[in-house]
Amino acid sequence: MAGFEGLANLEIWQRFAEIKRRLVWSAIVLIVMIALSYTYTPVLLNQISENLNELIFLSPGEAFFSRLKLAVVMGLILTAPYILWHIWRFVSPGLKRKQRRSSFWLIPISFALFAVGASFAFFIVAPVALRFFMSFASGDLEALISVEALLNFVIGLVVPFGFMFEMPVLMLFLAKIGLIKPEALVKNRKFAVLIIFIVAALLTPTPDAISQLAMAVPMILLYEISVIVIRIVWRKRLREAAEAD
Amino acid sequence: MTTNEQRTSDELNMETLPDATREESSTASSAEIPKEEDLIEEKAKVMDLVGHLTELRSRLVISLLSFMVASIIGWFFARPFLLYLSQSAGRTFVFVAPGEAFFSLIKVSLTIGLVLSSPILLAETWMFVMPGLLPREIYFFRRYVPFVIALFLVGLVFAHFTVYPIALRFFLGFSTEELQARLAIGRYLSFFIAMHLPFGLMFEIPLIILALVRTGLLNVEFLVRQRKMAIIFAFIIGAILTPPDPITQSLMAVPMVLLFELSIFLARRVRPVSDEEVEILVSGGENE
Repeated sequence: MAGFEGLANLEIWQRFAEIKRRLVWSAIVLIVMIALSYTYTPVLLNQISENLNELIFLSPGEAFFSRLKLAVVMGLILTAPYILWHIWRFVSPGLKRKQRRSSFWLIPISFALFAVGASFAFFIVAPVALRFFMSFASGDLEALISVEALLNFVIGLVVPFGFMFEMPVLMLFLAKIGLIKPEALVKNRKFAVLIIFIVAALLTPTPDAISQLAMAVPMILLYEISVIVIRIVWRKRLREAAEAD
Repeated sequence: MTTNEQRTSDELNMETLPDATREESSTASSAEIPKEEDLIEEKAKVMDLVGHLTELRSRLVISLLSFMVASIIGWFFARPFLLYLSQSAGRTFVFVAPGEAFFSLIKVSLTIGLVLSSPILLAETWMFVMPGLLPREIYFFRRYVPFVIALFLVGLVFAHFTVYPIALRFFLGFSTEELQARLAIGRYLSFFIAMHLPFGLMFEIPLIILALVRTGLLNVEFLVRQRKMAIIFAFIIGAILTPPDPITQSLMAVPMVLLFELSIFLARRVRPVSDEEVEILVSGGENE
């Protein structure tokens, strides 16, 4: 009895040491990435404020803290795959070989989808929305955009778009563990479209129809793509089940 | 006159309304309230729940549609309105957040839409609620709602031509060469609303006090005795509802005190409703 307890303790301490090691490495890489991103923030800010005549800051610390915020967001996005890899390395010894093989691809795919969503927001949606908003500037209503408001606007587009583009991964995962069937996805398409529009309205930073549409339309496309992928996965699964019989 | 007849409250027969009431109500209700004959017809129908829900739906649809149409009309007046504001401030505006200009214009057009469609909205609300009211309640609404609206408008007009320019001149007086005024449109709209809306509400004070005196909940002696407290409250409310400076606070508190004095003046000429009158009102909506 005592030996069993000792063994359990030993393993738990090993686990804790592993967690500590992985946390320290993640933190180091995160800090390095934030520092690196910070040096690139002027480039990013230039890119964002391309269509604006001038960019101002309204409170003394605003310029610095805005750059810092941008750097932290960038750093988190860049470090995410590394952190996810650590999580996977920590969890994977507990998985079966087959599970390990199929789940390994989740990290690159989810990161790629996030990057696609974020880039779509950064390079297409944000400039279009900005140009639309700037079109209301006139002689008696000048655009004098503060850097904090601009960054909040852009980050508020980029991050939700990145996460929304993860939807296929989530759906694929749910399909793999057998929670959703392709037929159900097709049957409930109406509700999916409705939910996508509601979520898009909630997640976009400004309550206008344009950014909502810019998010909802790609989401519906992604939904359709996921349905196709899930069909393929499902068919494969059925075939395997038939072969096993 | 049929006032001495004892009638039950649920016997909603409009024909027994006294002539005086009917005359007054038909003058007070120009565009918003349907004709007396329509009312009688409406009363005659006893609707079930589904009927009420159907009516509610059609009234909501009409209200929303008229609000939307009015807001679209308002969109074309939003720009001129901003131009008018910038002229009254003597400065051009800026916007500091990407969406600020667009959403300020949306906000202005929605407000214009609300104002333009308010007669329809009020009429629809009234027509939905009215069949469920007792004759005396209808009588009270018709008698006092026009005053409520009129006082609110008087308050807005007062604010626009006295408080708003004075406050603006006071605040913009602090701008110098080194301290330039660059007015952000979103904040300016908030300022504009804060300089108007509370005054509309404030001008309802005499009506509220008079109503309380009429019902016997307050009497003139009490009001006179508590004058000091009323003045303190006026200044406290003025401090809360306006930007934190003594000028706008006084601009709000002084008219409030004057309105309070006016209420006392009027309250002396009003006597509480007597028991007999209450009896009459409960029994059938008699005019005094």
